[in-house]
Amino acid sequence: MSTPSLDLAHAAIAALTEALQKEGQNATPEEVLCLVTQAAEESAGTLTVTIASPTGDAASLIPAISTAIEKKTGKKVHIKQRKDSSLIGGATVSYGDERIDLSVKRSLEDAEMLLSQNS
Amino acid sequence: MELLNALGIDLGVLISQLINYGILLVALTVLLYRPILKLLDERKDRIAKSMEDSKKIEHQLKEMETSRKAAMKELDQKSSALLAEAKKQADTSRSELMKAAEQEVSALLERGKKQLEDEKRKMVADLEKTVAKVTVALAGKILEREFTPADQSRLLSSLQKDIPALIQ
Repeated sequence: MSTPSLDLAHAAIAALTEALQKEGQNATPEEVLCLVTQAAEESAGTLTVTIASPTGDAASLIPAISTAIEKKTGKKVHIKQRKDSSLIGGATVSYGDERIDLSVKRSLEDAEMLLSQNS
Repeated sequence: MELLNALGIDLGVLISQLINYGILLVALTVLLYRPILKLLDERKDRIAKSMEDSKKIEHQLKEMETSRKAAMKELDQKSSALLAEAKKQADTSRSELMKAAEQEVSALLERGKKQLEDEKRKMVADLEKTVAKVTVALAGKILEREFTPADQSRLLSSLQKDIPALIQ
């Protein structure tokens, strides 16, 4: 169910995406939305941090993550949690252009790379 | 005279006979004996000349035989020298060809060996990569099946300690 304000936001994102494409900057509407959100957060002095985990619940990490990021950026942190079954275990933390991967999937990828390099 | 008459010899006839005989003798001498002698002398000369010519020819033949033998000997020596030189050159060429062929074969073998080793190394590396990939994929599948919420909880608890250091 859409609201007039949501329709207006979608139209604005679409227009912005088209304008960027005319300037030779190819970006998807999702990326544009992310950039707009970052800009909005930047102006509001807040920062959205997304924690992805296999269960979608990594509540035990939230205090440590919030404290560390607030200390680093000086911005108020807003936490969002997301479920990603492909991670197997652990979690990933994303904010701004930063991404910290603490998942089992990443550990396996690292192990595979290490084994391949040593061979 | 009387004696001649007693013997029945007529002096006139005798004289005429003597004259006839003398004439015959002169005629024979002039017409027959001398030409025959001349012919015999000429024949003798021809025979002597032929003998001399024969000797000359024999001598020439001997000289020619000697020259031929000398020429043959020289030719034989030259041909022997040429054959020896040709054999020497053939030996040298064969030796050089053999050496070049050996070098080429050696280089080919070396290249083949190196290529084989490279391929072997690449195969082993590919195999090890495949083994690593399969092993990790297998471990991933096992972990997907065996990784429990309790394991996730324990992992998150351990990550809490690392978070501050990772975010700095």
